[in-house]
This record gives sequence, structure tokens and C-alpha cells, in this order.
Amino acid sequence: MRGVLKQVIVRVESVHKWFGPLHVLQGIDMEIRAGETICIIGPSGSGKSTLLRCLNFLEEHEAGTILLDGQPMGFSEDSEGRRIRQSERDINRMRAKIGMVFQSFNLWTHMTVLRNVIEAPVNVKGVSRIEAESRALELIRRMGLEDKTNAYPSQLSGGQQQRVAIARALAMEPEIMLFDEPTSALDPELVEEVLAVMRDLARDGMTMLVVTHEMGFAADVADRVVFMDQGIIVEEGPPAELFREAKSPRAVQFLAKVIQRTR
Amino acid sequence: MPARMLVELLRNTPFLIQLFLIYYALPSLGVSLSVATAALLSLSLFAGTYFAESIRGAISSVPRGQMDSARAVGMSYALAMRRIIFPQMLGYLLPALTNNMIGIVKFSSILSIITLPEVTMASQIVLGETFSVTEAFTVTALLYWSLTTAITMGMSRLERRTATHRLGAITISPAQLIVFNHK
Repeated sequence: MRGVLKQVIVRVESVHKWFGPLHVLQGIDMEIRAGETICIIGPSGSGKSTLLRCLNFLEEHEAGTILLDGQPMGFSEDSEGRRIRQSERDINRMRAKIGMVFQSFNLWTHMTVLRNVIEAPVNVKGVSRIEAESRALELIRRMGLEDKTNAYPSQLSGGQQQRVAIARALAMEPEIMLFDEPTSALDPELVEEVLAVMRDLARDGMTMLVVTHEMGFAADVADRVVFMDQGIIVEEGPPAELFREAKSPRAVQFLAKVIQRTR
Repeated sequence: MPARMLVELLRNTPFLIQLFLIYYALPSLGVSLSVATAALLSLSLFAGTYFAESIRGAISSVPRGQMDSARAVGMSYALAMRRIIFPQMLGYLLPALTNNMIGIVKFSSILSIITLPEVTMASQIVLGETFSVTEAFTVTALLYWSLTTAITMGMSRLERRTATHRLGAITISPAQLIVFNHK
């Protein structure tokens, strides 16, 4: 279906974010369409993770607009154009539509795998426990973890924990999945099992925004690769183009370093 | 933040002085309290600050990512605290609370100074009548010891019941290091 323009799920318009005096995001514009997989690459401190955290309002942007399904995230404008923070309830409702996977997994350590996956559907969405469990078991099976259903996170490897975290996010049936360096905390031999799950998701048409250092994954899976540096999007394009003939010197320099290291 | 200020004020001044202020200085402001009320009030305030500080410490011992992932699935702050943070902070909180409670039992002996008839005061009365120094103080010490031991045993049981699933996940937290450093 490539080439056919699908509905825009997320639109980011000149978003700025400061941490004290530090101008972390310096006017980000971005559009994510249904079914797209976009990889964000760039040196550390370039604002990639902050952008992701702004998209589900874990960080609050100071200027600009983020639209999810055309609805503003976090801030609305009143009749006189003043920026007002939305109610907690509205923000939570928007967040529930966005799945997020963290670098450090952040599974709830006091709950089994199954309870981690059903917790939000039952307590946030109000799904019945039976329904939530049958859906959770299906997701856990899809992640290849059926024998770990009743294990606690501390009994799992990093790769297994990250796959549970993906199942937990999917259980909310999100419209988009955000991945914040999902394999950076993993031992090298565990990276592939997580990437394989993410490949399957992309193939099934999930809309995904992935901050990653895995250039091989980006080359294989991404519809578009976005290169960020110092709080701006420097360059973006299809992976084949961007990896082979990046135009900006900063992207060329970054890619040279990263690709040299992978070889 | 007035609560923060109250905690800092009470945590950084000696209990004995707080007790004197409440019992001897408040009447000059027109508030006269009975011995029992003054004793109860000062010990409660003192205990409250330590409990508050332990709870604050336990909450901040739960890794930040736990709250992030709870908010990311759409939980409200209150729901995230109840379902995610509170159950996990118990592992950090219970050892600190045990320390706090033992401290409070022992600190109650200071209340004898304003003539509250508690255990230490009673031992001095016995001492005055019998002159049996060794016996009186040994029995008193044993009474405190049995109380604190009962607390320790009860709390250990509670800790075992809440900690079954945190396999090797517990590390020493700042909350556990908060001990009574008053003299």
C-alpha cells in the first residue's frame, strides 16, 4: 500500500522544549501516517527521546502543537487564543491511545507477566478481567513467552522483559507505538529477539515511531528515517536514500561513525 | 510548603526541647496542657515527622520509570500511586517503619522528665521505695526490650509476606538508613 497517502495519526507543529536554559527541541515538525514505521536516529543529546516523551506528554512542550487524530495533546487554545493545559482526565485519555516502550523496560516488578499486561486494560479502560486475560494470553503467545505467563519480571532476561513491555503496550490497542531505544539496554545476543517482534508489528501495519541506534533495523523496516541533531530535524528520507547519500554534513559525519562501528 | 517546614523543624531539633516547649512554654501563650496531653502531643508530632520522612524516602526509592510506564498507559496519578508505587514502596518502607517504631518506644522514656507516669517513671518510684537499683532498672530494660522485640517480630512477618515476589530486588535504600540520630 506504499504510495497511497493514509490518514495522519500524529502531527507535530513547531514544537519547542526547554530544560531550564537548555533548548532541547528547537521547532520540530513531523507527520506520521497510519501504518508508517519511522526511525529517529541521531547522536545522544539530540532530543530524540525528549521528542518521544513529549508525544505522550510525559514531558510538557513549551510551544507548538502536537495533534493526535486531529486532537491537541496536553494543551488547547481558548477562544482568545491563550494556551491552556488540558485536564488530567483528557490527558490520560489521550495517553491511553499511545503505546510506549522504554529503554529500561519499566515492567511493574510486583506483578507477574500476565498482571503487567492486563493491569491497564482492566483498570484504565474498564475491560472485563476475563476478556483482558484472554487477549493478554494471545499477546504473550505472540511474543513467544507463553511459558513465562506467571513469572515475575526479575525472573526474566532483558529481552524477555522488553517483549512483555511490548505486549503490555499493545494490550491497550494503541493507535501508535513509541519505542525509546528499546534495545539499548540489552545484551547483544538478546537484541535480535526484540527486533524480530518489532519487525512483525511493522509488517502487521502498526504505526511505529522508533528511536534507535540499530541502523540495520532502520534500513530494513523504516518507511522513513529522521536524523535529529541539537534539537532539530536535520534531514529525513527513505532509509536507502538517507543512508547512502545523506545531504547534510552532520548526517554524513554521524552515519560514517555509526556504520564504521557496526562493521 | 508548610508541611515540609514543619517536618524540617521537628526533625532538626532535640525531642527534649520540643517536649519542654510544649509543656512549659505553651502555657505562657495561654495554652495549658495536662502532662498526658503534652506528652502525647509531643511524641505524636515527633513520630509523625519521622514516619513522614520514611514514607517520602520509600516513595522516592521506587525507580522513576515505574511512574513513567504507569502514566504512559493512561493511569491517573492517584491510580498509579495506588496500583504501582505503593505496593512497591512497602519493601523499602517496612524496615524503616520498624526502626521508627522502636525509636519511639525508647523515646517515650524521656516523657518521665515531665512526670508522666510511664515505665521509666514507674521504675524510679519503685527505686525510691525499695532502693533496689539493679532490680528496678533491669526489669525496666526488660520491659522495653520485650516491647521492641514484639514490634520487630511482627514487622518481620509483615515484611516476609510482602516481599515474597521481589526476588533479590531489594537494595539498601535511603529510607532504611534513616535512624534516630538524636541524643
